[in-house]
Parts: sequence; structure tokens; C-alpha cells
Amino acid sequence: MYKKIVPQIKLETYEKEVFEIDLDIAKKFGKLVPVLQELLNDDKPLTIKTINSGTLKKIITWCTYHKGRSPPPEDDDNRMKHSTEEVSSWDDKFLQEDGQAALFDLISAAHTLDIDGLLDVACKVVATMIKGKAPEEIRKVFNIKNDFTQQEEDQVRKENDWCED
Amino acid sequence: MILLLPVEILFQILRFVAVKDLAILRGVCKYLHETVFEGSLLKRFVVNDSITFTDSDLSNILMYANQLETLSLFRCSQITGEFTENLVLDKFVSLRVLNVAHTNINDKALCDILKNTHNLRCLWINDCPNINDKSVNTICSLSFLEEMYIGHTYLEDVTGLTTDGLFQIVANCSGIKRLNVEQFVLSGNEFIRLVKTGSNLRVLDVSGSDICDEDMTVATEYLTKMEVLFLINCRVTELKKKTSSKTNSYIINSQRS
Repeated sequence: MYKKIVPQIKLETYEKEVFEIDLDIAKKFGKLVPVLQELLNDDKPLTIKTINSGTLKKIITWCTYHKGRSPPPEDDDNRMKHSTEEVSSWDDKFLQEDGQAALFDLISAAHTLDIDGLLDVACKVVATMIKGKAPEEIRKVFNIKNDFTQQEEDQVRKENDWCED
Repeated sequence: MILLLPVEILFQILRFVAVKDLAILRGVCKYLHETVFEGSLLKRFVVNDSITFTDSDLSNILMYANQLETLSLFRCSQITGEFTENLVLDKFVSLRVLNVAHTNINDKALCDILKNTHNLRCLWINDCPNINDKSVNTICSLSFLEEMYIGHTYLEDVTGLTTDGLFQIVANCSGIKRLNVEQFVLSGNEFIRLVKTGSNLRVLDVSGSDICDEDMTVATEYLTKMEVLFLINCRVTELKKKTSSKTNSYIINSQRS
């Protein structure tokens, strides 16, 4: 049977593992778009030291899943609407299943590679973890130490008076 | 660990956090207290009418502002444009409103800002003596521009844009709905050319232009979409309300004194 040859590019991760990525997925990496042609011609992989293999695998899975699903509309009114829209349950599960550290790695990588849809949805997941929580709850969720003195904390509370219900 | 993220990535997350939750976040720890305050809350930065506000004041503030939507420096005469020199200019990417009217900003700084904004809707560059046609090409690339103010209110401090520059902008930024070219002193023919080119204009101020009744008669056929046309201190005496027009055309007029 005839097998279509899919053009691929090669990326090397922090662990020096080389990934072959289909062109239509690589096209989603905004940062790579200007050098795609070069990468296609070149047999040597492009090394991205700041991204680890686990993260790149996640990115490829995410892009593959969302391939063919229509991207969110570009115009501004819709962008505003989308920013408050809920994250789909597939995305929510997919992005959270490996824990917080992996999620932050993914956000950093999406930022580095300039993958718009992924960056937004991953940031929304983190924003949801913050939403409606008290400072103490947020510290617990993100494992943050309270380094305010009692006096400073009172001061901050006073600054925030305007937003109390 | 969220606190170990580079600040620009933290800001990416904060885009989706409601203002009320941002305030709570400031009470979590010292680092967030500083970071959240300085950067992410700032969508609008307005310092109108300050004679002491300088370029370096502005660049200090802009260092942290990554999602500025409105920047208004109206009548801050100390602003010359040096503030763009040490800035990473992609911070203007979400800018929608830029008001540098009555400042001393120069072409280079204006272009630096505008080259990095793709969503600008509203631009005020009236009464900027250091802006001239060098900015025209960059302004022409603002495809979402809807409002522009380049008229003069004080005759001694006029924007150096020429009529040619104006026509080039109007021809390229076809989405412009509101345009103020007050005291540009257009001739009758230039006025006709302007309304012919700017076919999407809804509100136009050409006050102080040299437009007579005959010019108005010729221009009428291009005014079908016009809602308000300001003709203060022009030579127009009679206003024929258009009968063929589907929309209401209000034309405000007073005599040259």
C-alpha cells in the first residue's frame, strides 16, 4: 500500500534525545516557523536545551490531539470570550495528570516555542487553581512559604480591603 | 514551583487571573506581593497633563508592564521618546489605545511602538511637533486602526504630517471610522479626495478647512456613510440634507468669524 511520506523535522531535547516531528505539528511552533525550511533540509537536529523529553512528548501529544480541531477564532471579541471559557475536560485532565512541576515545564516550553493555544490553556489551568481561594489555600496548593511578618500581613490585608466582598 | 518561573511566564498565567484574585495573590508571599503589583495589574497607564513626567519615569514603569492596553501621555511635554530605547518593545503588543498628543515624542519612538502593536484601534498624535511623514509608513501598517486624531488645536505646536501623508494613511488604513484633521486647512479638492478615499469614515472633523458650498455639493455623493461631519469655521453656508441617504447625516456648521 502506498504510504504518504510526511516531512519531518528533528528536535533534540535536554536529555539529548532526538524527536522526529511531523511538519504539520512543527508548524504550530511559532518560534520554529521562520526556520522550518532549513530544518527540513538539514539532517542535524535542532537542540532545545530548555525542554526535556517528557515535556516535548506532552507537547506532541497535545498538538496531535488538537490537530484538525478548529483553532479558536482570532478576532478580539472572541479572544476575550475564550479567556473566560472553561478548559475542556480532556485538556484539564491531560495537563494536570503529571503534576504541577510538569505543568510549569509545559507552560515554559509552550512559551519558548510560542505555541499559542497550548500556552493559553495551560495558563488557564493554573489560573483556575488560584481562583476564589484565600491566601492560605493558595500557599498550600503551590507549596509557598508565608514569609510575611504578622505586621506585614496586616498591612497587605489593609491594601486588599477594596476587593473584599 | 510557581515562584521559580521566570517573571514573563508568571505574567502569562496572570493574564487569566481575575483582578480580585490577583489582589489575593499579593497576600500570599513577599515575592508575589511585589511582582503582581508591578506588572500584571497594569492594563491602563494614563498620566495626562504632567509637566514633570519624563522618559525615564516612563521606562521604569514600562519595564514591568507586559499587557498594557492603553497608554496615554496626553500633554506630558517632557516625553520625547527616549523611553523606547532600553525597552523590550514587544511589551506594546496588546496596546489598543495610544495617546501621545501634545508631547514631544519623535518619529523614531512612535515607529518603535507602532511596529510592535498589531491591535491598535485608536491613535492620538495631534499637536506633536516632532512627528512628521517619517511615521506614515508605519501607521499605514496598522490594519485595525479605527480612530485617529492628527488635527491641531494649538497652531504653534502642530504635527508635522503633510496632506500627502494623511492621504496615504487614509488609503491604507481603510478601517478608520473616526478621523480628526481639525485645522489641517484642507482645500476643497483635498476635502473631496479625503471623503472619497476614506469610504468607511463615520465621523470626520475637518474644521478650519477651506471648503465652500460647491465643494460640499461634489462631496455629498461620498458622504453616504457619514454620521457626523464637523465643518466649524469652513465657508459652507447652506447644508442640503441628503435625501438619498439611508443613514442620518448630521452636519454641524458654524460660520467663519
